[in-house]
Amino acid sequence: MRPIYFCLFLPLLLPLSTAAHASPTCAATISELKVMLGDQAFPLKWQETSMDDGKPLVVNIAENRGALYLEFTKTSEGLWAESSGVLCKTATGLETRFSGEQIHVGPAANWVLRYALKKGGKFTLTQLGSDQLRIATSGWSGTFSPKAK
Amino acid sequence: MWIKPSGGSSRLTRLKHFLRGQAHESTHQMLLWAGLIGILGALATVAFREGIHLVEWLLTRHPGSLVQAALDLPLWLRLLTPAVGGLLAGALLQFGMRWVRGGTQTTDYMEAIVASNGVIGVRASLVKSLSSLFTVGTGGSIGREGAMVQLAAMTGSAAGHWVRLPQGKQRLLVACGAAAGLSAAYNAPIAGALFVAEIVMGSIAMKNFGPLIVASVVSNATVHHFLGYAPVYQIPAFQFLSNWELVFYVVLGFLLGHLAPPFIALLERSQALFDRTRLPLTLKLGFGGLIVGAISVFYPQVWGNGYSVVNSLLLQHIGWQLLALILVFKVIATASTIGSGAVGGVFTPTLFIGAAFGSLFGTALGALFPGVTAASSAYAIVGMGAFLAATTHAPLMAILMIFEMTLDYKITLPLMLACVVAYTVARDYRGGTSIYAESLRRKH
Repeated sequence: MRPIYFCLFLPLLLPLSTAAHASPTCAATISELKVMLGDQAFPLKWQETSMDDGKPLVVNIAENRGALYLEFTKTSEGLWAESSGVLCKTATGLETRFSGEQIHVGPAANWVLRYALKKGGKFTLTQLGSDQLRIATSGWSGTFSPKAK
Repeated sequence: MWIKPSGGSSRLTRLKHFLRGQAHESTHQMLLWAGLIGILGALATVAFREGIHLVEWLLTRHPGSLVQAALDLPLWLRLLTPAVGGLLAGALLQFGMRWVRGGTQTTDYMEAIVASNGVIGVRASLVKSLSSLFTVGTGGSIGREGAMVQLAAMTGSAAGHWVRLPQGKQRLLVACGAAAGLSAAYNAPIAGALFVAEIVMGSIAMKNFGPLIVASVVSNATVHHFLGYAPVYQIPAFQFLSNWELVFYVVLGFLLGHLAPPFIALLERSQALFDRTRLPLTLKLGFGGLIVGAISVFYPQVWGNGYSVVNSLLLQHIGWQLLALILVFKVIATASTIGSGAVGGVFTPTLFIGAAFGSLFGTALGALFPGVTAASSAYAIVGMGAFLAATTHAPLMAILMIFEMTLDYKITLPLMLACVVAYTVARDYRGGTSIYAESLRRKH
């Protein structure tokens, strides 16, 4: 095959290269997360503002044994859910997937959430502005504001 | 031939005689009854809450905040879910009532306490509560607490009827159930007892008020055992900047006092309009749900009783333009749901309207007098109380209820002032009636 014909295949390779460039970037630590978001001041503690029972969830993004860790605590009730994993960038925000073994649903979660998450799932985090975050998983979602320390 | 009762039924009979004896012996023995009704009433409200979660899960796959559920649904499901819920709720009412035989007993606890023999129809109450479950669980703009209070009052009625108490004590047990329901539903034991004593029974004599307090306290403690404890609304630290600011709260009370009578008139007008359609109940409730669904395509915040939106406007910034639109559409959604004949309370939507109006008022003041007035959330809290006082004609209950729902003592000064002004304007100046006027009118 003459070399010029290889040029015909180049446009076919271009989308692959673009797809590789747009593939989700993932963060496994806090510092990687802040670099990925391009926001060194990204709050790591958020409080729910859309609850209907007076007991807001507080989500804490932390590191546990060198890995990212999401902990949800229900005010005055204790642990709601906790999960470790990597946070990956998607078209709409951030996402972390977890298996049934990775997620630990605490006593503050109701029976529906236990049922919904028992086989694993994902948390999606969508920024709705500089001071609002929407977190969702199957069977639950909430809007959060940064929590003052 | 005599049939010897089995051991189980014999024990039940002995219990029945014992309880009847307790109630007949003296007034203070009623306190024991009140405690028992407190527990039963609280259990009824806990069961109803779980029922709502179940319906939400079945129909939206999203139990919890209804507004969040609406946000997570595709638009066509957001449109149809309240309509389907309305159809189911209407069908339950329309066909379920056929199951209720000898339907002369009331299902209205206020009527049972003040005007009838104190007996609430158990089957009819269950049918109505189940219907309410579908309306509330699918986004209907109505309070879930109405059915909770009704169920709790029904437990008082059923217990009193079971041991055949005299009429006066039977009524008192229903009142204890209502106080227990209010206490459990709003986490407001003082306001719950006071509302039933002051507004429904028309007296705070200790003979009646004592059992109401016992029922209310026991109910609240029982609910804490199952659901934990927290004030219903989380509010930011309240700053009372200057005594002059009290003038603004008086103006807020004055404005809300003017708004209450038209709001009640709107609800009545909406009911009349739905009645004029002559549609079967099933279709009427379905149509009411469809209106809520159509609004929620653009403003999902109209779903539910409004708790989560009030929390949002207390804890985060919502632009005044958006809040004004939500307020207008929430009023329309509430009028549609209630007007369609859905079963539920109007108490909590009232709190929402007061909070949204108060927040807008506070935002306007903040823009006109920057640095002189408190945050708009303070006006939202006071607005809730003022509008509640103006619509229920119960300012003392409104003050106590908002205090118990927020547990912020500093808010009480402006709250008391605004509640009394709103009540006076609504009742004396505008000549408006209470939202409970229809039920209480039968007393006289």
